Parts: sequence; C-alpha cells; structure tokens
Amino acid sequence: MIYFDNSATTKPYKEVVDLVAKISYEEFGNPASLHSFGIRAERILEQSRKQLAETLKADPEEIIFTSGGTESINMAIKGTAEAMKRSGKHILSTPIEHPAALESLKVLEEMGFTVEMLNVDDKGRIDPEELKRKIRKDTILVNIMMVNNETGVIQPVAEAAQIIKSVNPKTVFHVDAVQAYGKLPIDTRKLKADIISFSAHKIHGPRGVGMMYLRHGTKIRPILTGGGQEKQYRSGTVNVPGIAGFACAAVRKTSQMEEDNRTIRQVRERLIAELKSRMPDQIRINSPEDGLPGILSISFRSVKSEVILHALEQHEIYVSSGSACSSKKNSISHVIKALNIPAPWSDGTIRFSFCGENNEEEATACAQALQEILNTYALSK
Amino acid sequence: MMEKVILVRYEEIFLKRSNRNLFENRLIRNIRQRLESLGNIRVTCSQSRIYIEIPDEDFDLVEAVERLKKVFGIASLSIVHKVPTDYEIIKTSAVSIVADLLSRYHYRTFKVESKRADKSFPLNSPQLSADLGAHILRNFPRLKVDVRNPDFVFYIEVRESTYLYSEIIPAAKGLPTGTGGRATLLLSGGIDSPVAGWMIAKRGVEVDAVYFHSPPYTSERAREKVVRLSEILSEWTMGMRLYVVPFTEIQMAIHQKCPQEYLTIIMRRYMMKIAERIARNDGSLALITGEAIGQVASQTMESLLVTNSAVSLPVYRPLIGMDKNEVVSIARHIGTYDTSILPYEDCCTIFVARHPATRPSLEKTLDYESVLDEEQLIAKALEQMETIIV
Repeated sequence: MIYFDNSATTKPYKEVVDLVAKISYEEFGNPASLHSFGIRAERILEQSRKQLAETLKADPEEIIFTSGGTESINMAIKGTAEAMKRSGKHILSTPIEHPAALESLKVLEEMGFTVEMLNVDDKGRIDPEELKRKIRKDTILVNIMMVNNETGVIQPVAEAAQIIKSVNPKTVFHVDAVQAYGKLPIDTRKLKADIISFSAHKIHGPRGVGMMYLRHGTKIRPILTGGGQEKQYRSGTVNVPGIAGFACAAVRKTSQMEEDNRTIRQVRERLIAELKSRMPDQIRINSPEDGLPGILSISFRSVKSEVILHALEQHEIYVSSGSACSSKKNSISHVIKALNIPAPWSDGTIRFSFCGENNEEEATACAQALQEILNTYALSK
Repeated sequence: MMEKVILVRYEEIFLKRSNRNLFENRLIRNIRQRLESLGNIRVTCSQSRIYIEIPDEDFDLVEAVERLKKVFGIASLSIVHKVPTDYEIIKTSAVSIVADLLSRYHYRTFKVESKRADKSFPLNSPQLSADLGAHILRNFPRLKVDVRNPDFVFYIEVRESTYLYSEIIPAAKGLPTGTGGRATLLLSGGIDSPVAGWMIAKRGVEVDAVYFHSPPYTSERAREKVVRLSEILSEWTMGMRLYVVPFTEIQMAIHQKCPQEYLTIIMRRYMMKIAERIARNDGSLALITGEAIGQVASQTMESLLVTNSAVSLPVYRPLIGMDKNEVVSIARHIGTYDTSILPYEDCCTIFVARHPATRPSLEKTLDYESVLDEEQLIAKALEQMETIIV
C-alpha cells in the first residue's frame, strides 16, 4: 500500500497508539474528580499541555483542548464574533479556507455579520497590501489559514499579524494551522496571532483531539457549555488519553520536522520528475514551488480525477481528488475554482500528500501507475 | 387472560380456486420464514385467514408487523386480542383495549362491528354491536357513536374464542413470493430499477439482480449502494441474488470502436445480452428493467426497440407508462428512495455522448456492433462476475 493522503489523515505513530491504550486502560480517572486517582489523570493532562505549549513557545495557560480542528475553528470564529459583537460586525477571510471556517462564517453572515473575502492570486496567496487596506475600525476578526489543505500554499501569516495589529490592535487574528503544525515552525512569540487552531490526527496523533492556542487577553465566548472544563472555555469531560497521545505525536513530529521535510521534499521532487519525464504534456502542477512540500496538487489532462483516484486504488495507492465527478454536475472544489485552473485541467485534479514515512520508491511506483492509468483511461474523442 | 394474535387477511388468493392450497401454503411458509428469527410462532389457517400466535409478552410485535407489511400476498393485518367466549370477559377486555387506543389517538367517535360465527352465543350480531357499544359508552363518556364515519371501528368476532381488534393495517398485497417463477432485474443505483424489480416481485415472482460495475469509472461506494438497494429490496423479495458484472472492458471497447452517438445504445444492448445469459442459466423467465418511454435518450421508443432486439427473453418494463413522480412515490414506499439518491453516481457520463442518437436504427447498430468481439467480451465478463447472496 502507498498512502499519499496524509492531509486527509495520517497513520498514528505506534508509540502514540500504545500510550493512548495504556492511559485509557490504566489511568481512566476523570481529571475533574477530587480523589487522587483523578489527580493522577490531571497530572498527565497538565504534563501534555506543557509539552504541547512548548512546541509553540507558548504558555501552557494558553492551550485549550478540543475535539479537533473543526471544533477549534468553530470556536475561534463563532466565539470571537460573539465576544466582540459590540465592537463591530466586520470580518475578513480568504475564499480558500477549510469548510469548517467557511461554513462558520456563513452562519455569522446569517446572524448579521459582514464577511468580506480577500482576493487570492493564481497560487492562492493573499496580498498583504490588500489586507492592510481592508481592515476597518469595526473589523473584529481576520481569519486566514496558514497552509491550504488542497494546494499547500503558505500564507504570509506572520506579516499579516503585524499588519493587522498595526492597523487595528483590537482586531482578533485567527490562524488555522491544522495543515501547518509539525511541518512548519510555529512560534507564538513571532507569529502574533490571537488564536491558532490545531488537530492531532494530521500529525500521526489520535482522531478526535485538537487544541486551540488562545493568547492571554483574547476574549472568546465558549460554544460548548456545561461543567466548565478547560477554564470554562470548553466544557465536557477531558479526553486525557487522546491528549496524551497528541502530545506524544507533537513532540516527535516537531523534533523530527526537518528530517521529515527533507524526506518529503525528495518524494515530492521524485514524483514531479517522474511525471514530467513520463507525461510532460499531460500534467499541470497547481501547487506553488515554495508551498508546503507535503501537499502537491496536480491536474491531469483528459482523465477525470475520480477515475484516476479509483484506478490508483486498484494499485493500492491512495490519494484525494480536488474535484468530485457526478453525472448531474461536475463539482470542482472551491479552492480549485478560486485558482482559475482552465477547464480541461480542473476536472482531473489530484492531491498527493506525503509524510515522513513515505519514500522515493513509492513516488516512482505511483508515477508508473499513473502512466498506465492515463494510457488506459484517457478517452480521446 | 388476553392473548395477542396477529390476524392476516389475503384477498387475491381467492381467485385462484384450483391453486388455492398452493398459494396459502406458500404464504404461510413465507410468513414463517420472515418471522422465525423473532421467536417461536405458530401459524394456522382457517376460513381464509391466517392466525399467527405469538409465544409470549416479550415477542417484538412491532417488528413482526413491520416485516409482515412486506410479505407479498398479505392484504391487511390486525393485532387481535383473543379472549375466551364469555360475555363478561369480552366486556372487560373491550374496555381495556379502547382505553389503550384512546391513550394513543385523539378519537372521538366509534362504532362496533360484530360477527357471530358461534351461533350458540346468546346475542346475535346487531344485538352484540348495540350492547357492547353501550358498554363502551358508559366507560368512556366523551366518546360518541357514529355509524357512518367513525374515527375507529371496534371489531368483535365471536368464534370458539372471541377476537377483538380495532385497527386494520394495510399490507403489501400482491401474490406470495415463489408462486410466479423467476425474473432477472437490471439493477442500477438509480430510483427506477429497484421500483421495477419490486413491482414484478409483487406478483409472486422471485427476483435476482444484475449490476454492471465499471471501476475505476464507478467507485466502490457506488457498488456498495447497489448492494444496499438489494438488501432493501430483499426484505420484500424474500432474499435475492445480486450478480456484479465487471463492465469496464466492454465500455472501453465500445468507446474505442463505435461511433459516439451509438455508445449508450450499444452499451445497453450488451447489458441486456449479459443479463439474458445469466437469466437463462438460472432458469429465469424474463428480464426486468426500469425503463419508461422518453425518460432519457436511451429510452425513446426507437431506442427501446433496438435494445429489446438484443435478447429473445421477454423484457418486463413495469414503469413504461409512468411519470417520474409516480415512480418516486413508490420508491419512497418501498424504502429505496433515500439510498437511490445518495450522490455516489458513477462516472459513466464519460461514456455518454454529448448528443446521443435518440432515433437509432437497428441496422446501423448491428453494423457498428459487428466490429466488437462479442463472444470474447461477454465470456470474460461472465467469468469475472461476482455473486452476492443478499
């Protein structure tokens, strides 16, 4: 099996699975309990919080655990809007955010907020100058993802943070770092975002765990209410085994980041080189060269992406499609649409996403399979 | 004291005088088969009715009724309270049944309908209706009698035992599965073909299905969707076989060698030919399709003529004169609609010409088709066919 779908989810590290199992079974106490067994679980929780905070150069007090990227993003966007609605109703975002953000923004629009989309260029990048012009007195939130999940484009979020804070220090800046964490350095002393969202399963951690970095002094209103766990920000019995697994994965992933990125870059370059030599006229690379190496979007001429995806799966090679094919309508993803990829290409967009456990032989095998597939299934009529 | 029995009524079986026993026995067998996993039931037949005695209080009556509603040959059902033929017991039971009914429905008016088969019972039918009605009225002063248009009818049948009930649950009707032979359905993931299969199955026909799978043009999910549709259908058809035929190679060959505007029609002919081979091998007497005149280009009368000519078995097209919304309402009734509309549609559109021939000619079709190695293509597809018992 060749797994090139690491932006969808990753295979958890063995040590993560073992740790989650061990803590689930042995340390099943509720960290909110008063007895010593609960306190043991609380200790594991706080230790994990500290480890995760360290990877971000943050204060452990600034870490809130959630159920994953979607929840973090929902809480960041809706929670900020709720807390800031007296200061204004203007929100800035990009059109190529994850649906968790775009759908949350849609809900806010229905509630009377104004959501304005920044333009992106043909690589999906925002223009900091435009951002500067568009921030208003009543702009309460700017929402930008650090790495796009379909193309790997990296947004200049550190620069954006500076601009935002210089124009309107009250504006809250939320960065969706779900695809960036563990793959790019994130230092909260340099990246002056107020809120950052993270997910565990994108970095070989367990499913159903995420976190939010909430800078000291930032106000958000919780969306889940109840027992008041996580300093009132996120009620619900805390998932200690999952969080411990997240910390374990994060420590390993951030410490071997450079080594992983080297491997990933080799795999990516091998795949591009093989495809270019085998089928130079049939491919179009949508990802920018200076994007995240782990995400590679390629469009293939004359074969629909779902056909490629299902044909690759017959070779036990797993990837994602950037467009869905149905006989009713051809639904191309909002990201691919925003990049204005010309029609014969956009239908055949595939996302390859790599991790440190992939290797160059897999890239060659994948290119070979793709060549066969294009020879067999390209319907030229 | 009160024992519950399911009363099953059938209608059409009456018509088949000489075969009546055969039909009744089959219906009883089908009922047993559908209910056996729920517990130890006793099924008896007397005076053109079937009685299902349930073992105990724990028996899942609601599930049993749901299953029986899908047994072809049953016209209607009632959950009946069986009590000893003793007027005092009958009266008390009637009151408790009505009390239960009024706790569930906002009924205001009723009437009593009596049938006295046991002539030794002291009251005749009209007397019994009047007297029991009066007794119910005394106990439920807010109810009123309305003989013309009552909210509910309280039925009483006095036999060796006495049967009391008020609800008549309509069921599937049709003829018992297994009394009509076997037919082979061309099943796609759409709305129409499951309905077509159901309509033929309703006439007592055992139905098997053939699905044409074209990976990588159709996804694994599309195949799972068809398996799911067969599972839903098989609740009505007492099980079925699903044949999954790999079709990619045939599609590719047609695409490469035949003119664009004839792709669909030639593809349809291949599907029919393959289904016919499978049918003959199974002793199946007909093919079933979900086609309706004019629905799509491949379903014009000219196209139907051309596809029909591919086979010699009769092709049943129960939807031929129906409108889409009529088909949809049946699909909802049989439970396939929600699965049919799931968006795992295949990428077969790639094989659909922009302007398919709406008036194909048989001569041209045969001519275009002749370049294909039909025997080899079909033999290979059949060889790689997968059979799923649903």
